[in-house]
Amino acid sequence: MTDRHHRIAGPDPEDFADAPSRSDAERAESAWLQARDHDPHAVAPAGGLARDYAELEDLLRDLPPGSDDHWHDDVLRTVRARPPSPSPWWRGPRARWTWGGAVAAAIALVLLVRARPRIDELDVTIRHVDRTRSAPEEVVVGDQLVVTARPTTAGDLRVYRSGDALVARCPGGPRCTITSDGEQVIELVLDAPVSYQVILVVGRTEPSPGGTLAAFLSAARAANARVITQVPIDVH
Amino acid sequence: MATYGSALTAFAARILGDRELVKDVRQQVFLEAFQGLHRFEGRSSLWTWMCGIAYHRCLDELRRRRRLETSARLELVDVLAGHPDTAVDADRVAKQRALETCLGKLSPAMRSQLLLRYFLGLSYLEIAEVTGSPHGTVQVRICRILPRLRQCLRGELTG
Repeated sequence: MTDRHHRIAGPDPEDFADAPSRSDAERAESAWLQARDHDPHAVAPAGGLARDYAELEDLLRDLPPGSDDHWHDDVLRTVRARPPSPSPWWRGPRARWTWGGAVAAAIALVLLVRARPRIDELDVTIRHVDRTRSAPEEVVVGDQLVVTARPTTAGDLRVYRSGDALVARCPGGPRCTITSDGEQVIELVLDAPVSYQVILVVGRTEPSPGGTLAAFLSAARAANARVITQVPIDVH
Repeated sequence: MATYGSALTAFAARILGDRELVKDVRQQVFLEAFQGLHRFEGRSSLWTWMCGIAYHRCLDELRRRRRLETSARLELVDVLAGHPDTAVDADRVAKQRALETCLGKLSPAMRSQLLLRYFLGLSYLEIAEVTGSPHGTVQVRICRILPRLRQCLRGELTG
């Protein structure tokens, strides 16, 4: 484990886990659960409990993941999954109002989007080459990494290999392209079975060090710059 | 490492209950893991190690924002809502939502231990290693909370 362990704060007095047991039945349940950890055949104090806990534990194991990264895909999928209407809605008597509402909503949406401040964005795409892989999403040596950054101000986009080797940067690197819209694009072939890390630092104006990822990050933090990154890419 | 991202993100979401905080923590976790991979000692599994980083960064974030006493319990369900698979089984979705509500009634520290055990699949020993609590204490606390959670779930579903 890391050497940065901390003890967590003490129990919250309002936490219902820390209130005293309310009944003998609850104490018996708790004792049975502890016994069950050592002996899976321990007899439950009441009928149906084993089934209840099997379901509860299954629900806990199977809680849904978040969907924040793919919300737009989720919306599209949900819309496509909806059954078609029995008759075309645009032929109904309220079509005029519906169209009017839709146009008003579209205008409001455009105004809202335009009014929102621009945000720094970082997109990472893997272009798969035609090679054998154990899973469709697995990244293998030879795949191409395409990184697109849309920083709101000066941005320093970099790709590191194994934490130490700077393999691409933008601006200033041979694999860098800057579009007329100010997008910074890096394209490179993933040529080794190691982890790659994409980092975008926004807001630094002084020349950045060229060394390790750690040095780069510490310089960025010292300059109070914004650091944006994504999950490291494991190449197999 | 990408395979861990989704589970750790959902874990952080349930502890923090705030979409922006979750993004910050997820970023910290993967950066720290990436930078510290060469320091990984192998005494625990890589997964336990990653869970430990996520757990501590979540609690750090809670401390930093002084939210330990006022965790955003009501936001919890919203943060996690919207998964496409949830349309498949309405009964299961209702139970999951009720369970999220009950989890929201726990302190972040207790909720995190329960999620480490079941959602992230750690053993009591691994949780003890991650949290720095004695193994027996972890087991007793989780076994004490489960009956309350069962009662709460039943109450949410029938009430």
